[in-house]
Amino acid sequence: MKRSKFALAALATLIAFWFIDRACAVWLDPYAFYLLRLIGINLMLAISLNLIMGFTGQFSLGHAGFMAVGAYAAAATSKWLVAHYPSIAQQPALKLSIFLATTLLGGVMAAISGLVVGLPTLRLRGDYLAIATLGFGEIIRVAFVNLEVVGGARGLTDIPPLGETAFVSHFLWVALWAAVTLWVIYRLVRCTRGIAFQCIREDELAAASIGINTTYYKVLAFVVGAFFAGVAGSLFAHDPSQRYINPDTFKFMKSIEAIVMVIVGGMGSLTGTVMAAGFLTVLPELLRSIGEYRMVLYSVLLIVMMLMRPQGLLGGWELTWRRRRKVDFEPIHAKQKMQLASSDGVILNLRNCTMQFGGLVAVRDFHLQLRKGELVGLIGPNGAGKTTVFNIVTGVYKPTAGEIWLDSIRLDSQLQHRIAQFGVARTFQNIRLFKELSVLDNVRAAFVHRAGYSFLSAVLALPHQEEEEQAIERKCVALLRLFGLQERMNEKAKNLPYGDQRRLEIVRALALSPKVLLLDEPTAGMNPAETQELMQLIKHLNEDWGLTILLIEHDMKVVMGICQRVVVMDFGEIIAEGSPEQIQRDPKVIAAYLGEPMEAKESADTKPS
Amino acid sequence: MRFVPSRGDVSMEPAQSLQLLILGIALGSVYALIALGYSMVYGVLRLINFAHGDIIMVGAFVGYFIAKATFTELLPLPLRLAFVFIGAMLACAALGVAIERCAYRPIRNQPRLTALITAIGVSLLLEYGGQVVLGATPRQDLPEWLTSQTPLLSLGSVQVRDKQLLVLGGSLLLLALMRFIVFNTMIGKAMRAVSHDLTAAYLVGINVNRVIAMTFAIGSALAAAAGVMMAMSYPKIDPLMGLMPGIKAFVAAVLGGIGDLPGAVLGGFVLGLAETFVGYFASGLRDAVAFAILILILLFKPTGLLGKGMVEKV
Amino acid sequence: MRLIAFACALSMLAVLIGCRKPESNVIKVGHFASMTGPTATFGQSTDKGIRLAIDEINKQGGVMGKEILVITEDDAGKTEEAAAAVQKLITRDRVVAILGEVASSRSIVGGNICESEGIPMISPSSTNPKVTQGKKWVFRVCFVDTFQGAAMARFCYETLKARKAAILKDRKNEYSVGLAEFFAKTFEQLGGTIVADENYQEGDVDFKPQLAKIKSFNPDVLFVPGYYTECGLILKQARRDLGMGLPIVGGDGWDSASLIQEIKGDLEGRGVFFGNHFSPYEERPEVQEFVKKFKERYGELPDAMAALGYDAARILADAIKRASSTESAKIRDAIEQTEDFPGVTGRITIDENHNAKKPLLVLQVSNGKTKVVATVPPIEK
Repeated sequence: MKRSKFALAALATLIAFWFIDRACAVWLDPYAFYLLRLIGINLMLAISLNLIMGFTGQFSLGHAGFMAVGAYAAAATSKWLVAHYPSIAQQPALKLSIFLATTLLGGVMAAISGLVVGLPTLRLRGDYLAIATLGFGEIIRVAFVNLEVVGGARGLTDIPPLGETAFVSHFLWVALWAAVTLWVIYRLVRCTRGIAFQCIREDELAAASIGINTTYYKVLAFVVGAFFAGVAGSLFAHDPSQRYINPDTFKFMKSIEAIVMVIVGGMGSLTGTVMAAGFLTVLPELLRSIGEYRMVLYSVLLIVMMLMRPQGLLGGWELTWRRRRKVDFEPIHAKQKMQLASSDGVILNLRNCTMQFGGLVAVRDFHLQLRKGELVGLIGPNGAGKTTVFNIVTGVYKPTAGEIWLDSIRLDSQLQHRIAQFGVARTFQNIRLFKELSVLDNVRAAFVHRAGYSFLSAVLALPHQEEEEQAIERKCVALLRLFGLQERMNEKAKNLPYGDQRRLEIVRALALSPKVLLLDEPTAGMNPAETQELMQLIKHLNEDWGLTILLIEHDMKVVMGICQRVVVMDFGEIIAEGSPEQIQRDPKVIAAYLGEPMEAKESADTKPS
Repeated sequence: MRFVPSRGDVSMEPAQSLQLLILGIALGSVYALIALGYSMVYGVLRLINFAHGDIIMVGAFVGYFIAKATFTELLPLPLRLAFVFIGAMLACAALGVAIERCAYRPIRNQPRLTALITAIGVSLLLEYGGQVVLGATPRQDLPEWLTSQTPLLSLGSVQVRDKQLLVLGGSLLLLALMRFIVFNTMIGKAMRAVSHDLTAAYLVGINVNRVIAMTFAIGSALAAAAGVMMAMSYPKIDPLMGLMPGIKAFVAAVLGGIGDLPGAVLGGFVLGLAETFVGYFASGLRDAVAFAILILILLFKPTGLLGKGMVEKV
Repeated sequence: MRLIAFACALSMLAVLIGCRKPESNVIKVGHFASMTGPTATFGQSTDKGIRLAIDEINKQGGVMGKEILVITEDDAGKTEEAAAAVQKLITRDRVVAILGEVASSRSIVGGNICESEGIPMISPSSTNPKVTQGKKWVFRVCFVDTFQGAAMARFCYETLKARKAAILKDRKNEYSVGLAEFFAKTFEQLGGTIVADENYQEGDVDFKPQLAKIKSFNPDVLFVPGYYTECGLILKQARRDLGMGLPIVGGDGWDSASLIQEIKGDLEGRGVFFGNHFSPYEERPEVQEFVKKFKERYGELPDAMAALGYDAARILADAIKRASSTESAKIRDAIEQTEDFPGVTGRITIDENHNAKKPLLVLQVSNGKTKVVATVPPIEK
């Protein structure tokens, strides 16, 4: 969108909402009007929570805490200002500006609390994270109960309804902020950089392996989610039908209500959340007639929903208006020239690397020098330590001893995502694709760390961001085309046949424009035809693209067929090294792994370790 | 502050601390029972059973009704107590199995969040359903023989009452029984197998469904016992009474290492003592103790005091 | 997919557009209360009292020749629901006046809406001063906590001759916190000292640590301004587990038949007292009449909430009669002029702050029953 188009659209939205506001004020009775505002507020809560839980996959059971922070911060400030400068209430323009300011303040304070909650809880997963956030939510509430300055248990009364003037009602604020929340989060998750959120949800390890700084994005999700929850809190506190908050308003039940909205709508579906927020706000009112059975019905509904349709009303379905335009691709240049700092052409250097887990030494004194353009095979029985070598190179583990160098960069003390960014790409033994994402998105994910725009420009739909997105998409499609996957680029990765999934993983790794590619048993589970195809592909990557490859394989045909050099491991140590022919004849290798010399056809593991 | 500050000039005499110690241990033993049930279920299903706290409530009510039944009055005291306990435990075991069968088994293969939300739904159903069926008014008219607290031992101003001993003794007995079952019986071995790896257990011929049902039955029975003990010690029961103890016991389980049974017991006692002592010095912060412990543990040792870490295989 | 979306949208629309009930030949009055949730018994009791009163009045011909219809909406104990309930009663049901609520927090929210909509509201039993402060349309038929706290302090100091008082309050409950504050202020003004001020939370079951602490200060009286749900346990633990025999005093939150019946024998100690609006054992003929009718209809003794609900409804009906109109402003004026109304909770006059000027009864609980041991007259300006 051009800059002017965006501004125009924003202005048009503002005016349209204002008309709707006036119309509602005239035609709707106060009860319905109040409900409408509640829907808007709940919408903001649910959407912001969806970012954290639905998109980023972080269980957050304390969302009400963020709402509380925003509500209290904004309301306390409003009260104080009006008490000290009563003239504010008289002048509409000033009144509205102050309201905007206090609401923003509420959002910012909530965002800070999101930071405080997000940072320490990063390392926690799943259930533990859920409980930690629950704990934080309760602690925030208990803190407010004990804070006498904001009324303690009695709460804040007489909050001035700053959002209401003669021409503007509180509803306009709610509608506008709800629209902003929707827009911002929509833009955030749909842009290429935003794919990171879902990658984290799908597979954090894989996300890190393609250069995504998972810490940053998790914290960002919390901060942004908390911000909008805080804004929702402020809007709730200043609502002319409320104007009173106490800590009980933000009990655990409130967090549950928000979660239910996200779940019922479908996690990861913004449209679903919108609908669910509306429906679930209105539901208690619909059920008024059955009085005491209301909550019972609500809980039964919840259980039935989970049993019958856990993906929510809409699952991951999203209302999109993506123009299906034809994507032209740019051809990939072969033989990318790479300048190396080292003179001897060594691109990956492992020196005396040892990896010890407690008493178990998985890798002992490993050394390896990969030269630029080499295709080296790493073989050995199961449990020999081959994948562990991959893991210490890519930063999944920090080696107990030794050094790892990528050209002139030292790798062994770096974080996973940094190593990926430096140019080390890998695939996994048991395929770690982002299953729920489309084929195209899986590849786009590799561009997250080098997308050349900020989130702000994505939100504002600045032209250069749009251009960058198109460029990225072109590159991705080109890559997919190369591997014959572009036909299915909008399908979910989990729906691909096994062979295609393996290839997709390789495409994703290639999208990093890596200096070194580590392939972990890429032909596992493939039939001979597929294996042959993949073999040729790898060879092509190595010869025509000049890509340096380290390959773990059990299929001897592949190893002997394309590797220039082979390293053999057993019990964590290198037992032999040399050309394929040399190691084929090496008695140690035969004893440990290959078995009696045959025309090395089978990929059998002769010795389990 | 207008009033005299609640700490400061209070020095703790040894008698005072001993009394608090006794109170803390009694409270802790109840938490230990509940935490054990939580841990067991988490161990086999990786599910935080939010409804566990509400099973405490059901146990308390069943015990209450049994205690007030006319024929119970006819029995001698020890038999009466046995009746109440066993009745409550059996009823809740059945309830636990029913819940597992209807609400948790169908979603066993779903992502964890689905199970979490379902558990919350079951919890809400028990609470609000309880309000509809049993009435929202807390009942305080428990029979005398169930709730009377006569001092049995006295050391100066420190008193140990009969019910406290009963609670402590009963808890220890049940815990010892649990230990025996889990470590010395086939079913216990099966439970441990399932908690290590459900699929592998299935593959070696363990009837996984039956084992899980057993686990729920046992865990719920423990919760029921805890509920009756709570009714004995704090004679007020209402449909929402299980919420707070449930959450606190969960914290205790996490503190000890969730999934780790001795850890749950340890966590229960630690929490009981911490709460009692903090309640003495700063009563406004008592509830916050549980959550503060939770946060600290999760930040510094998420696997708990006794738990073992789970290494993710790459 | 589309079907689900359509269904959602349709149900939303249904509620939003809604239907305005047609005008009819009844006078509609709204009552918002916590009929479910943690304080359900309060709401249910009040509702029973209100309905008893209205049915009586209707049997005698109603007001201005029309019957009064009470529409009760549940707020589940939550303030947001209270707002929705009041909004609905006013805009959809077109009530001419609102009765409610028991909890001050919800009365404040409901009161705000009534204030901006111009509908008179009478709270039967909210005692927090803020409920009526600065409001033109909100009234109450009970005394306020400033009065209650002071009265109880006076009782402790003058009648019980206590000089050292300890307080155990519900930190989370603004009623309890407020009452404790007013008590302490007056007690200290009179010359006493507050030796301990401890806290608990609604839902707690174990108060022994706090009580142990209080015991160590050796107070003359213990003031527990909480709800009956916890007070029973506090009493038991104090008397039995900690052997504290001192007089224990509470506020109107203690009023509950199930609690009162329990207090006998060793639980009485050197006295259990609480301040209240009402005692079913009071000898006055109006009270006994009311108790008889209530028991006939509901099969139980009325508590203070029921009695206050009864009085609030009758005062409202009386005001409508005096105004001879269902216009909100006129009803409001009539309520303002209520003077010396013979309620079962005392003779009620609405003062200039829209609060009820009436005496407070100090009840002593003994042998499962209450008896009036003192009557504190309203403070004259």
